[in-house]
Amino acid sequence: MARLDVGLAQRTVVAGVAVHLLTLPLVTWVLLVVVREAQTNNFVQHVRTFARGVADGFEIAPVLGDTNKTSKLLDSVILTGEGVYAELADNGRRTVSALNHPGISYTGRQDLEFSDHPDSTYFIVLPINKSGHDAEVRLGFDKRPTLDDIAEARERIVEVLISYAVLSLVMAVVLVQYLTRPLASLGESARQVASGDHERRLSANTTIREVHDLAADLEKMRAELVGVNAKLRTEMDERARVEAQRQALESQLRRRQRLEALGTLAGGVAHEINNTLVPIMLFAQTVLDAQPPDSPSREDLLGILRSARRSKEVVKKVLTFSRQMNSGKRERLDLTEPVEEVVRLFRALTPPGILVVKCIEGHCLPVIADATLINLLTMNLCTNALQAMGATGGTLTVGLAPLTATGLEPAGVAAGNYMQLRIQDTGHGMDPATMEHIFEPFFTTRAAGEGTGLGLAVVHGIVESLGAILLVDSNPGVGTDFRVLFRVAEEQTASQRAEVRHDIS
Amino acid sequence: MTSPEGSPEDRSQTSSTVRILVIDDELDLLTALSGTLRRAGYRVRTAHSAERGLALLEQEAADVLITDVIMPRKSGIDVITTVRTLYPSTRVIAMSGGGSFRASDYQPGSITTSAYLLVSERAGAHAVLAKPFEASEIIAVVRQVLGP
Repeated sequence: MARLDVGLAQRTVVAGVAVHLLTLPLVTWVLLVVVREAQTNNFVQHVRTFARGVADGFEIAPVLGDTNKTSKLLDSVILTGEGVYAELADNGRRTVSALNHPGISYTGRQDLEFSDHPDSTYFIVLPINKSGHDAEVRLGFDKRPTLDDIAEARERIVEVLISYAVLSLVMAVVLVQYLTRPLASLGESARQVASGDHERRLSANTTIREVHDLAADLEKMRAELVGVNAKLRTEMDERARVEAQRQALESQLRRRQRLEALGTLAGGVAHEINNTLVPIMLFAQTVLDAQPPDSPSREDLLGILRSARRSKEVVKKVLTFSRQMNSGKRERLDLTEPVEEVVRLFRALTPPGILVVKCIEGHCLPVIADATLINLLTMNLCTNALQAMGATGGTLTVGLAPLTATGLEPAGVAAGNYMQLRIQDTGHGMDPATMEHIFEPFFTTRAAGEGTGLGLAVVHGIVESLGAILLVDSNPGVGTDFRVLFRVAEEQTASQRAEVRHDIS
Repeated sequence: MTSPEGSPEDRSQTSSTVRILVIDDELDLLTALSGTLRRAGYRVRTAHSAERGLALLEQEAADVLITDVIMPRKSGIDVITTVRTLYPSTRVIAMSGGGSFRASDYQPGSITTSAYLLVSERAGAHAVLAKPFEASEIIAVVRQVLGP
């Protein structure tokens, strides 16, 4: 797998060094060969020309045979600085320049190439064509200046090539930096987008066309993806809302079916008990009336009557749950008065640890209801709230305010104008499992004897009979919030519409 | 104290001139109620069905009819309607304990005591009484329908 921690700059330096390591020795070698060839050829050409001139001097001038003149001519070879050794052999007689550099002697050889012999002297032997003479001139030239020139040229070449290598690497690094800076900036922007900042634009501040085009393409893609993402999010939210609404409706339907079934049962049971209570009460009264005043049975008979009356009350409550209220009177009603009456009552009744807060907001619009039922409904909800707070105390808030539903409210709340009666407590609250059952008759979380379990069932019966909507929200340890929504009376909304029309016209 | 009746349809032996007919399908209730009314001085006849009650009325008119609303076959509402038509001078008291005839008749809006009593009033009952009631209550209602 490729190593991801090596950047473009490092890669470029490594590649440049590798290329230079491979190519520079070769280039160096080639250049050195060329320089050396040029220098040595130049040397050889020069000394040969020079030697030819010396030989020509012996052939043309009347020198041969005259030792003094011969010596002078040979000395001139050394004195010009061209040669280091000069000798003339003429008919077996050798004449050597007195100025020859010490330590150099003719060994009978002749150099054809610069490097024929490894020593520092280059020997040339040229015959002299002059009648009566069998002569040849033998000259030695110092190779060291040429070797020094070659060495110096080699140093220069190596210096230049090393400088070139360093400079090219530096330029490569600078170029890479120039290329990668906009890419790094683009990468940073992309990371920001990936980490959630979807509105961050992807751009590269560069004049390099390819990088600029890449940034533009990425930005276009980002904008498109952000749009798609937002659309998907909206769709998901909408689906979640619809699903929540569906579940709430299902839950409401289940609850309603269960309560309907219980209502049917309660109605049937109530009928039977009511019928049997009549003879119990009448017979007990008959026997009681027949007892003398001091009869010990009187108390027992009164006990029968008390129990029968108590049963009568329980059945009455069950029937309240069973929509007894359907036949109650209905009238346009301002909820303020019955609600305030309950608040006054509860302020007088509640223990010191519980604060009763009344919160009536806005203009109370009339609803179609029955004041007695509203009273009973509010009392039952307040009683439930007080019992939920118990000895620990808390705050009971009774609120009344107009509410306009826009269709986004919980399931079952149609768009329209409502009056909202709200009873909130800071009591122990309920978990979802308990909330499922609170409206069932005889369901109670309280200890035996502390409650009949009919209070909220009666609330449900009243709400149903009035065609209102009951919403409950509760959190264990935090409290419970009951909301009852009453549709504002149609006449009122109609007249309001008329007023609006009048205002417009 | 008057001894219990052998049959719910026996004539009362009281000397009162006010004749009351009680119709209810509950026999214990019929016995208890007729006993209470007799001790209050009324002449009481009883019937355990609507049909039987109407037959007794044909034999002899009644000043007051006390009828249950919910009864099998023929309901108290039918009885009230018939009596108000055929015997306009008879004062009618309807009584109901709610509930339905049969489970299949269940209508959410019509199972309650007050609903039945409301229907009874509309059918022509002069007074209505929710079951259960005490002796004093029924006697007060009887006196009320008879007027001063």
